[in-house]
Amino acid sequence: MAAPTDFQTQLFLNNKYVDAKSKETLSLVNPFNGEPISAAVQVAGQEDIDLAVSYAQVAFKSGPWSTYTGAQRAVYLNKLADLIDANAHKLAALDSLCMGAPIAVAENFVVPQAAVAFRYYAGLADKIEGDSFAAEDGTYRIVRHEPLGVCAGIAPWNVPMIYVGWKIAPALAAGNTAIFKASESSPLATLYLGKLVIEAGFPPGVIQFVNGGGKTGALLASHMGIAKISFTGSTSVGKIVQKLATESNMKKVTLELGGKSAALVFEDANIPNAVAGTADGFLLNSGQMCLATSRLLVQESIATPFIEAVKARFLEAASKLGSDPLSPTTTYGPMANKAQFDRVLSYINIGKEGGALAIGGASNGNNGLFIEPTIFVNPDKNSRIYKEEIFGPVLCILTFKTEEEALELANDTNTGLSAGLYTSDLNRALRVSAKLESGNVAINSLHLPAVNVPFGGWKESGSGQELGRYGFQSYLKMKSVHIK
Amino acid sequence: MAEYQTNLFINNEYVPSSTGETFEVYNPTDDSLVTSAVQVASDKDVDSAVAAAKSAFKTWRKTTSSQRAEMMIRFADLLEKHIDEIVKLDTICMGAPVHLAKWLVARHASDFRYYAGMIDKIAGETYPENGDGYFKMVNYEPMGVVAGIAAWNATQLFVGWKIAPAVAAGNTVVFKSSEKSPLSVLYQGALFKEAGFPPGVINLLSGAANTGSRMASHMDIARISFTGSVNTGRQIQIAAAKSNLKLVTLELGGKSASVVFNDAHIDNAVKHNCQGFLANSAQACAAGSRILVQEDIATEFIEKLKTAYIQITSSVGDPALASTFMGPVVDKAQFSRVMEYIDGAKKEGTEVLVGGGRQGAKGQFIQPTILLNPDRHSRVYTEEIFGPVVMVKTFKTEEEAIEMANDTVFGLSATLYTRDVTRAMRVSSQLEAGTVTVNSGPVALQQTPWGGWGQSGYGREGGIHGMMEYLQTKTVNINMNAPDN
Repeated sequence: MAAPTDFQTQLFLNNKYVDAKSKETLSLVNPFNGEPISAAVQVAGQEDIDLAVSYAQVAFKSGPWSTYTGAQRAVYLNKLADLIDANAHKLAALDSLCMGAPIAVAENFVVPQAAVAFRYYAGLADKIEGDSFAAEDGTYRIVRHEPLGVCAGIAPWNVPMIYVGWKIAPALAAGNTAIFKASESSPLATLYLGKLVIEAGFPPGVIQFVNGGGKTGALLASHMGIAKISFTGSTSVGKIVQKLATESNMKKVTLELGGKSAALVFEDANIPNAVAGTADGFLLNSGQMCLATSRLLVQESIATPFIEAVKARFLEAASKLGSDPLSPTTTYGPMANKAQFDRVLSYINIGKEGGALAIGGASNGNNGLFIEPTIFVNPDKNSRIYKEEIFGPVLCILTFKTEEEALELANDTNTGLSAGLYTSDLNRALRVSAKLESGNVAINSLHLPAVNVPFGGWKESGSGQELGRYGFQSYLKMKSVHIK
Repeated sequence: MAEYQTNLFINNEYVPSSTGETFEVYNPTDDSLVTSAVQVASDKDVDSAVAAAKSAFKTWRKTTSSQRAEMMIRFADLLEKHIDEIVKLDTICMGAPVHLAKWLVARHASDFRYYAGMIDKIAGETYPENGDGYFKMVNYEPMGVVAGIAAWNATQLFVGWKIAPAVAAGNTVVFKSSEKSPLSVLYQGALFKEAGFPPGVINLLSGAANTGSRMASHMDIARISFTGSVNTGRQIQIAAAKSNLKLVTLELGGKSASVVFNDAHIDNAVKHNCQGFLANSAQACAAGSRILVQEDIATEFIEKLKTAYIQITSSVGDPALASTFMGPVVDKAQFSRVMEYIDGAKKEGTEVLVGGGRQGAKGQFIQPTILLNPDRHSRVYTEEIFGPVVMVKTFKTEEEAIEMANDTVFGLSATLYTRDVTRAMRVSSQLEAGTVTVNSGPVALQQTPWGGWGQSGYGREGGIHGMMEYLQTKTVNINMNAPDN
């Protein structure tokens, strides 16, 4: 299809698209063909963020939103869900244009998941429950759960629309107001949502969109008027967000960071299923997923044929390289931007020096930022390609003899976001999943977050969680009231 | 005579009774015949409905949360679209004033939305294997075919309470309206179908005691939820036990107290004990029919209450008019019942402060009535009247008030009026009722469970408890020490 050409480029504040006071703009590039996207998206500076926060505070404290019942809030959340679904194609195209996701995936999975999140949390808006205790000692005690205030969300570029759902829906369901910043690489779909926010009927200041990169993000993380920030992105930037949040007003922080997740394939696994999960599943979004199982650990007894099967899937994907993400038949896209492309290639070069390259390893296509699906077999466990998150289509494969060895290998990382486990044995499935040091474990499939269970990382993969009721609780604060 | 939907709604189709038996419904506003064609669900019809529900359950329990939620929300939208027709049907059958009937339909729609949002929020529990070697899960699963039997006084509330959480939880439903207000329920069959509920998921029957009895004793119904009189509730419980030990929820009557302390805001207390009490001609299970007022303010309170009752009598009239506050009672039988209580009180020498007789010349209208200080053992003080008759007694101390309030076999609701925060907490913790309301008449709010203590029944409707009743736990224990193959 033809690339979309009409874009929102301003800030969306208080239900209006307005010019930023800062004069900076973002330069967006289509990663498929290297061409600039003619959208001079305006960057929010200090004044703009101050304005957004003051609008959000008014909306929270005294605007109509502050008077709505949970059931009323739910009506608006459900309306926005419907509008997102109705505009899925347009939103998917805008994301696809900016960061190269195949539009079929964006439109049929990523964008609808945002609507799913809005509907899920709409159902919780009128179900906020505190506690009540009888007076054993003459004092009655109750616990109230109350909203936080202004909540900020910062999203990365890899599945942009999902974060709109994940970070805004629970905040609003709990009665907060939200300021959201998409990645500087992929702001267009998010900005378009302003129109839908108005159409859904939200009062001004309840949902606002600001644009920018690290500087704008830092303004949000340090703002004295923001009660909570939820950040998804790299571990190194996550640590900065945490520091800024603490040093300013100790705002609450939720971090969803990187991973170097392992998939364990045991000899009793259903092999075709395991290949699909660890090969095709890994290549989802060209490997640009925080939960990607970029370390494949295969039991020795089945390793040789298994690795051949994985290679075959990678070669199959490679054969389709180079097609336009905006085409509905494209399944494999480029890296989202030049910086990421360079990063991945530099890791590949490090890996090549280590001598473990099995297939792939090259960029492909003269214009697009495509990288071949790449496999390193038995890389040095101390090498950077094995230890550090690459966030691209680069898979490291190791073998193991015993279950104990597999667990040791899998857990030998300072990350803990996801894990995959392929086995047909009941006890092994439960036993090993219990021992994996990871916030999420998927047994016998690719791990895809589900809206009803928390998604969060262990160790340096993050703090706190999103989704489910646990994710909802993080947008509320407790107050114990003792009545004598 | 207008065309009303009078057929049974089974398996997404409207069908006549298998025996052709019908019953009549009269409009209590003017005693005119509404229809004589309402179909009676025979034993065979009940069996068909249950069979349809049983078959539908196999697939319904597997539909996803979002699929079920979508249908429920669509149904809520349809209810709102058809609100005027539904209101009219309840008004002509049982005399509910239009403004109240509208509120009940809105509440019914919001209950469907509320439970739609709850479907994927109910988590089971898991327990690690440390210690006993078993990985343990506790899952909540639907029960199968469940039944609901409604009273006539707030029909839409019962449709919402008995169907929404049941289908949200994955069950299928057979629901019987009261024979005094069947039409508004049968009408909704088409709306359930239009909302996309598959055939058999929701079935709507009309009929009287025989139909209810067949449902209570049906071997394939897993739970029955009944709202109505204590006597019928008892029979349902017995039939349930004698058949398949189906679970039972009973929402029965009450003789609730309304306790007014010296520090109450008197005008507020008067307002709720007048309009609050008299809404729906006081045909409410939770009606605060025993007002207990503290001595120091009794004279002023009683004087103001009397004035309020006299004043409100002028807005008793045709329930179809927006200006009417209070309509008739539901039918001739109820009218006679209420008058019998009043006459009995008069014979015992109880003072009638206001009202005490028929209102107007036609229709089943009773005057808003206040009885002063009936004997604590009299029928009028101990039995549920279910009509616009309130009685007032005084008390000296808080302890006396609590003792008097709790001096009843019932325990559905209690209200108290005070500004003292600690008294509010203290007294509410000692009143023996399922719902205690401070500084207003009783309210059944969406997020909280509603149900009785004592002979007011057991089980709960509304809130998350209302949905948990339609789920049963299944504990799954997995032996983690089983040897490898």
